[in-house]
Amino acid sequence: MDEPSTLDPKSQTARPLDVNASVTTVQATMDKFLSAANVEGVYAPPIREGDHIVIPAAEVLSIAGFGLGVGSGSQGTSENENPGSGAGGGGGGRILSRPVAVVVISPTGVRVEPIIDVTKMILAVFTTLGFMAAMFNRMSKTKPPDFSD
Amino acid sequence: MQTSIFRIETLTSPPITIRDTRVHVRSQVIQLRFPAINGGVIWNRPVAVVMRLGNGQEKIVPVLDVTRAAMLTLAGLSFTAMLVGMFFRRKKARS
Repeated sequence: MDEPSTLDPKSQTARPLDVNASVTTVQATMDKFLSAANVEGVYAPPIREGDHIVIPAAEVLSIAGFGLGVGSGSQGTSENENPGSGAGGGGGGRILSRPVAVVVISPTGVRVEPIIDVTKMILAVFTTLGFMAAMFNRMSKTKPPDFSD
Repeated sequence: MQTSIFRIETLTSPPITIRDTRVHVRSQVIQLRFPAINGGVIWNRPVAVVMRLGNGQEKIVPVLDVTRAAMLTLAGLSFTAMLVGMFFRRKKARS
């Protein structure tokens, strides 16, 4: 058991932190994310059916964020030289997509058929009615402003 | 790749040819980039279909987002109702 413990700070060799590689990775990921902002991200590949071509279209909202940090320190004593350092990073993102319409191309012309999200609209109607009911209820219960002076 | 912080751009696809008609689809990208935190927001939405006929005539068919229009209408309705309610409440208080 004379082998030095891996938990002993003296036994650990300080590995150089390759910050540039991390930054490059983050930058490459960011560039990849930004490259999604093209027309192919909205329109699906055309579906051919006889003389007709159908192209589904959707709205895309992408949100992404990345971050990283590096730190180092030294205790500075001659007996225990323990230069510590660390680095960390993280990121997250979300892509929201919603179908909007279908483009139908036929020999007679082009027409755009809208896609209506009925569930979303019903929820919005109920939310609006609830908001209006709550607002009028509050208005009827509170005292109106005094303009007597 | 160097990108600006805020960008609005209309993109057009390569043509889809059917007989003598060439069809392009267009989308609009609104891009917001936060350089300090290496992040960003991209909003990409379809806007129109452009038809170029054989005789050179061009026809643009807009892509309408009916769901969004309905949501905005509802939001406007509730805001108008709030303003009308406040107006009549003040009128009542003055009288």
